[in-house]
Amino acid sequence: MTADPHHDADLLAAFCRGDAAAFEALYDRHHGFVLRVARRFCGDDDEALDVLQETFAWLCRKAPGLRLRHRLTTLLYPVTRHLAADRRRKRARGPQPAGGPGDLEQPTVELQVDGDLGDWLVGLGPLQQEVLALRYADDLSLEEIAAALAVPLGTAKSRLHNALAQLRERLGDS
Amino acid sequence: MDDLEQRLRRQLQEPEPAVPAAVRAAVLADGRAAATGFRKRRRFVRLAGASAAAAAAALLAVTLWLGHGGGPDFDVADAWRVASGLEHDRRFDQNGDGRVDRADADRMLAAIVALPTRRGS
Repeated sequence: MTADPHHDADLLAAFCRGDAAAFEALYDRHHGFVLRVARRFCGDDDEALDVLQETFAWLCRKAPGLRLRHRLTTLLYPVTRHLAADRRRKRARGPQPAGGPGDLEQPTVELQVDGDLGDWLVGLGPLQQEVLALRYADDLSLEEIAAALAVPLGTAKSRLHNALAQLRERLGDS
Repeated sequence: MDDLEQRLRRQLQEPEPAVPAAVRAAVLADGRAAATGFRKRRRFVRLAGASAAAAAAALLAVTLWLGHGGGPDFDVADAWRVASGLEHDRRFDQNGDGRVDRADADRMLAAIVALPTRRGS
C-alpha cells in the first residue's frame, strides 16, 4: 500500500513497514515544529538541535506502538517539551533525580515575539504562555492542543480563554 | 478571529528554523536504521508464520502417510511433497481467508482423525 502523504498516520504506518522515505516525509513535515518547541523550553539554540535529534530518535524507537488520532505534532509535543525542559533544568541546577520534584514543575516558556506584545506576554503565567504559543505560533486546533497537553478539551478551551482575557486586561490597563 | 488574535498570530509565528545539514543527515540515518529493523522484524514474523504452517503441513502429511500404513502407494517423500506444496495450494485454504496456515491444517487434521483408517477398516 502506498502511504497517503496527506496523513501522518499513513506515513507512520509506512515507516513501521520499513519505508525510510515515509520517515523522511514525517521529519520534513515536523522538524520545524519540534525545533521551535525545543527552543521555547530549553532556551538554547544548540541544545534545541540536540533535543530535535533525541525527539526523532524517540520516534524511531516507539513508532510501532504509537496510535495517531491527530497530527503527529500532538505526540511529539510532550516528548520535545520534556526533553527540552529537562536540559534547561540540568543546565540551571545540575541533574535532578528521575521523578523528583523538578519533574512536577511547569517548565519555563521562552516565547519568540516579534512585536509590541512581547512585554505583555512575559507577564503571563507559563500555562497561559504555553497555550497561546500552541494556538498562535504553532497553529494547533483546540482538539490538538488538548491532545498535546493531555487535558480535556474543556480545559484547553478555558486555558486559552483565560490567557486571552488576561492579555486583554493588561493591554486595556496600559 | 479578533484583532488581538491576529496580532498574536503575526507576532508569535516565526520563519521555519534552519537545521544544519549534519543534524538532518544524522536524524535521517536513525530513521533508515529503524526502517531496516522494522523490515527485518516483519520478515521474521512472516517467516515464523510460514514455518508454523509448514510444520503443521508436515504433521498433516505424516499423518496421511501413517494413515496409509506407510505403504509403497504413499511414502514419506510423498508426505514431504505434500507438506511443501500445501502452502501454495489454494485448495487447502479451508476457512477461505486467502492463505494456507495453521488454522487450515488444524481443520484438515480434525477431518483426518475422524476418518476410519485403512488399517482399522
